[in-house]
Amino acid sequence: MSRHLTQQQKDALKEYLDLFEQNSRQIEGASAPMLRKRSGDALLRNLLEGKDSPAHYPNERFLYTDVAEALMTDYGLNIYCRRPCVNPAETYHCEVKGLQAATIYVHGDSVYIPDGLPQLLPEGTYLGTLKDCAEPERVRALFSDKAWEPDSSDPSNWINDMIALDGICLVVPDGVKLPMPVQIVNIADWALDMMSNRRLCIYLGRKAEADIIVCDHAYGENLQLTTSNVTLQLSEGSRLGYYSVEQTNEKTTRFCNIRAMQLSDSQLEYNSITLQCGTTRSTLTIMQPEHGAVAEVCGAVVAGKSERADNYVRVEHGGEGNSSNMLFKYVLGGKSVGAFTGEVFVAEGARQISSEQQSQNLLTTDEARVYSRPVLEIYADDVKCNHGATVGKLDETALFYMQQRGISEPDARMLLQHAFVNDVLQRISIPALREQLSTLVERRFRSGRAQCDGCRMIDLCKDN
Amino acid sequence: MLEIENLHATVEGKEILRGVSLTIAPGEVHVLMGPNGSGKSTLSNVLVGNPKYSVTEGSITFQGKDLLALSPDARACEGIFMSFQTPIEIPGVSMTKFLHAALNARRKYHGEKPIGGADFLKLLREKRKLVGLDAHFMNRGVNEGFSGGERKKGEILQMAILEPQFSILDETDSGLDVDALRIVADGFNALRTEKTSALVITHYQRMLDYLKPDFVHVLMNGRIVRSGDASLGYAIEEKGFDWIKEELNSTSA
Ligand SMILES: Nc1ncnc2c1ncn2[C@@H]1O[C@H](COP(=O)(O)OP(=O)(O)O)[C@@H](O)[C@H]1O
Ligand SMILES: [Mg+2]
Repeated sequence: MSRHLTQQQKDALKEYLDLFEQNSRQIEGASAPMLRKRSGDALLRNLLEGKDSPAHYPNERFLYTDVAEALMTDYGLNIYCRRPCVNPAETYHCEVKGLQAATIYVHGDSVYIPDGLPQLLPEGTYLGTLKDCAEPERVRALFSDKAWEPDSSDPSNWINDMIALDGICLVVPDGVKLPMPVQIVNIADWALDMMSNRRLCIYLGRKAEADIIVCDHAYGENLQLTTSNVTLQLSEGSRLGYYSVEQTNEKTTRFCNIRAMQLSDSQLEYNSITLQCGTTRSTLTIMQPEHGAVAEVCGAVVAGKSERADNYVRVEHGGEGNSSNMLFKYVLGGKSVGAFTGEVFVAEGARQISSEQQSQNLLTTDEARVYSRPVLEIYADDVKCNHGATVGKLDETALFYMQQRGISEPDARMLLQHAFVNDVLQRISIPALREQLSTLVERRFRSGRAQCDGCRMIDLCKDN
Repeated sequence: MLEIENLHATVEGKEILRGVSLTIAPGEVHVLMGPNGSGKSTLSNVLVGNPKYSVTEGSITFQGKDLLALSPDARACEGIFMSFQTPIEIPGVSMTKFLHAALNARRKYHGEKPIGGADFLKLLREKRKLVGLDAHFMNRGVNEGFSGGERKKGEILQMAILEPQFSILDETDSGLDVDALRIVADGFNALRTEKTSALVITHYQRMLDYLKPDFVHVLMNGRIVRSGDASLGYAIEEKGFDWIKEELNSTSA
């Protein structure tokens, strides 16, 4: 990636800004009230006008994923909120075997809440669209401002902030533990090149507990660009499990930006599994300004062909007794490219901070590439910080041992690769999801595809 | 069952086997002895098709088939098993999963239906008794955290599950205490039939006592230089290999 935006890239970014400005009234009117205080447009404008501002791009956080380049495709945008003619909740099905979940479907950026869904959750819990949220002012104020701000390094996040009209909101009141996970099924299947801008806001009250499963699917022959802007607020003593599973396709570019505010003694369990993708980048920023917060951050990538997967995790430790632990495992074949950065920032005056990161990678072809990078920025002394990265090939001795017992070479490879990734899957605390992912990973290694049995698409009207 | 003829093999360009010939009939147990570095493990690895070793001359016929034309996994499915001198760890692939996959691969090769999970667990439980490995070993990765002795017992357990026609035991007895050695040898003996045969590499008389081999061969410098019955083994245990070297030198001189 070059160190400067090209004129074409600037022009492409400018088009998004023009589109926003020309349609600002429509966007304002169609937006969920919670999204009306926008700042993405200002960030983008400042960047393009070369003004002194926090916004900067290109930058060291995006060394391996070129957002500006990806935004040069002329994507359609759904700013008039046209809903696809068929409700995906009726035509699409994504289920985790043996798991009951409160499932929401999102096609493009349109959210579908199945009937009867709210009744599945305890009283006082809100799960629905941002638009339908009855007290937008109050709910927005539940989130720390820092969690709500766009990421100043990520243009895809500014564009999302600028033009996302609606999204999903989950509010779990103090002391409430959700009886089942919330599953969000994102689908991109358009008969034209489309960009979808999604938002997800999750607030957990004090000692509240929730698990979220986000499944990203993509179908069809057209180019799809999806941006997701996720805001997580974990109040004191709360616990959030956030599991993301990507099974998109080579036509998909996916930019996901998650900002998580972790207050005292909260626990975040994050696990992101990329089974199939085109170009995918997840940026996760975790803020731990208080004390006793724990973040367990894991991820796995299985990629081949020309797939590109990039995980960027930044943890900002302040306060006292906060910790983070990262484990990312990639299996890369074909000409795929993987990147992982674990950025640990420890603020001045922070105490008893511990941070651990491991990036382990298996390259199964000579053409596959991986870039693994720890970035440590530490302004305090009372810090325990470890990082390690390995890049290897499959153990030939183990392969031979298995073949000597009668297992064919492809099966032996599959078993070893599966075992490698399984380390990450084992950390998922929902047994049914763990099982399903284990099966999907195996299927991915066997056939190159990772379709689940339970998932299918029934004729989403493609002519529209 | 197995005919090795004038086998030459190299490893990393170095010739290690220089014309080995050996015939093993069904029901027979052959012991192979020889000084360290004489090529015993090389012969074993060549038999099972380890890609690190290249055959430069000669032939191996197993039950009428040209063994050298078969892939390592096909050789295993044909009924050849090697107990490795140093069994490696495979973290993350449980012993249960591994052996289940191995057994079903063999069944598939012979056109048989796969054995289901529950039936396999039953079989595994039964076979474990033979070598006295507890259930918890089966949930660990293959050989993961196993002691040397446990690994060797694990090899015999694998042999018990896979029921090979021809087994190679490459110093399976080395490094075992007396009790473990007895368990391993008894386990092996329990699996013997009139139709199965074995090549057992050992340095110890105790193994000869347990196995009562039909033949003993001595490998030196990549050639079989002496063959005889068990008494040859006992003579080596008593006098070492030097006397053979001397005899060889005197005849060639
Ligand atoms: N994988 C290997 N790589 C390099 N050299 C090897 C390898 N295996 C065996 N050799 C060499 O081949 C010779 C015979 O070794 P080996 O067959 O292991 O002997 P033995 O089992 O009789 O002690 C030794 O000189 C050894 O160093
Ligand atoms: Mg040896």
